[in-house]
Amino acid sequence: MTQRIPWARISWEHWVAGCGLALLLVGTYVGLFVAPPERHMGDVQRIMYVHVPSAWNGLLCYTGAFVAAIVVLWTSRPKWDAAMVGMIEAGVVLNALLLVQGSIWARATWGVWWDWDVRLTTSLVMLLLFAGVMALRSFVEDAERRTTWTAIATIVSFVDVPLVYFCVRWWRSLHQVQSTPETVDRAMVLPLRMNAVAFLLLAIWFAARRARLELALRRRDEVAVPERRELVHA
Amino acid sequence: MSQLTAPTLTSPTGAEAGFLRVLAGQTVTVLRKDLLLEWRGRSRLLSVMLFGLVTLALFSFAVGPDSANLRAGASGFLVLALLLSSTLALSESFRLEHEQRAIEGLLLLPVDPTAIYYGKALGNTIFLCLLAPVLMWVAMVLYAVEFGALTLVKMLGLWVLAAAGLSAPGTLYAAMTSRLRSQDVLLPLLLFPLVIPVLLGSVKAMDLVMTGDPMSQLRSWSLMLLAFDVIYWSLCGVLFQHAIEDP
Amino acid sequence: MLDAAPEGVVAGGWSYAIAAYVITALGLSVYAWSLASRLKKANREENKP
Repeated sequence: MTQRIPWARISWEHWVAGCGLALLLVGTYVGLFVAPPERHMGDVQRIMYVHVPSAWNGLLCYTGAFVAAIVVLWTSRPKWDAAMVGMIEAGVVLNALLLVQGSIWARATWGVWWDWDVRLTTSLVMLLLFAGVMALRSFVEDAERRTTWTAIATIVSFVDVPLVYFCVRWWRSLHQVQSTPETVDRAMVLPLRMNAVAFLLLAIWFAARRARLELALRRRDEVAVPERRELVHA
Repeated sequence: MSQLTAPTLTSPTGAEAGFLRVLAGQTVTVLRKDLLLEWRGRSRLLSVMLFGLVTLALFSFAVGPDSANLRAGASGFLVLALLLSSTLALSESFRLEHEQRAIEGLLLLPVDPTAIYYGKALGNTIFLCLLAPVLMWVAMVLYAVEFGALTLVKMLGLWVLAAAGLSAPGTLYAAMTSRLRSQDVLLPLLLFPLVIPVLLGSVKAMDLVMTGDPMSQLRSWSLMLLAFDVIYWSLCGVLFQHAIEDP
Repeated sequence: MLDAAPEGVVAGGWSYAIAAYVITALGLSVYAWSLASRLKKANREENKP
């Protein structure tokens, strides 16, 4: 008997991840070997093809988490809580990667591992904010309270992001520092867009898997309680 | 004449105004309760003040005796002392409630959670403002900065804005973390990144006030602080009821 | 095309770019593996009782 692959039982997010991975490989190849080097920065600029997608999708994940948080406060449904957690964690991972990539870029172009560039600084604060939300979550034992408080912290943190951005911008404007280039050459748009979509698809996979994990953990904790009660009665 | 009287009977603003009056009344009641408790336990204010002074001294030791350095960083040290003192003040503001399970009693009364929030947040703001005279005077002495009368007034105004900015999210987070064992870690961990705009804004603004403002940037920074305060006083007021309700 | 590319102002940029890509790939892979193993463990625990 031939073993048939149960195509129908493969979760939807694996298909998404497959597409994302394929797209990432193509986009990376184009970005590293086909796209022309930048006029002033040379090959270092190729970091942009992972840096910018990480940034866009990290922010997108946080925005999704913010929307989910509002829905959670409204309905308090576990699926929305799981989605919120998935998106926060995916956002935190992309955010952390973004900072490392940005640091490498800073080292290559400015000679220092860190610079108080507006976007790098805002990214650092975002990471601290949302990693803090995950930390809060790990200390709350009651599931519903954990859901509500995570949502509150997510909303409060998300609202802070534009405030931090503008604040740091004014703070920085006193010091004229070269920032990362805004305009993108047309030949570079293709790998950038490909990787942006690739990262989006992968982020969706991360968020979906994390959401499933959260639901499984919730079910495990709910199931555990009757066992303890039995022990008490016995 | 009927056209003048009829709107007041049927307009929604009549009911809204009534609700706001009740909310304000409850807020003032909660505030008075907290201020009374504060007055009875004055040692807490003195302890936090002392902590602030210790922090100011520590900065001097960390940065070194060079008076130019200290003067340049004076606004930063002052605001940091306020920030660090605020975690002590905020964490205490709900610990009292939990010690004798007073918070359950508070919630059983027909007091709107929003009133509890605003009462507590106002109490915390006032508490932090009481630190201002002592900390500012000591900072002037330690860091060799001179304040004129107008400078002092502006500094106090900025201190009020900063204290309000810290109290708004701080009261919300203090309410949440007071129920957890690791409050000492979680409250600063959550609050400090959040209030970076307050930190940046108040440090820059105080610096401009103390050392001169050739490009008239004080207004922008003050408005930014005010915007933060308005946003978070509204947002946290709305979210507070979810933070303290029992699941 | 690579041979004809002009030398940028920043020298040795290629290694930095590769480093960034490798770290990104590692980071994504490690997180993916961590998710997969945690999910497997959670599903196993759920099915035990």
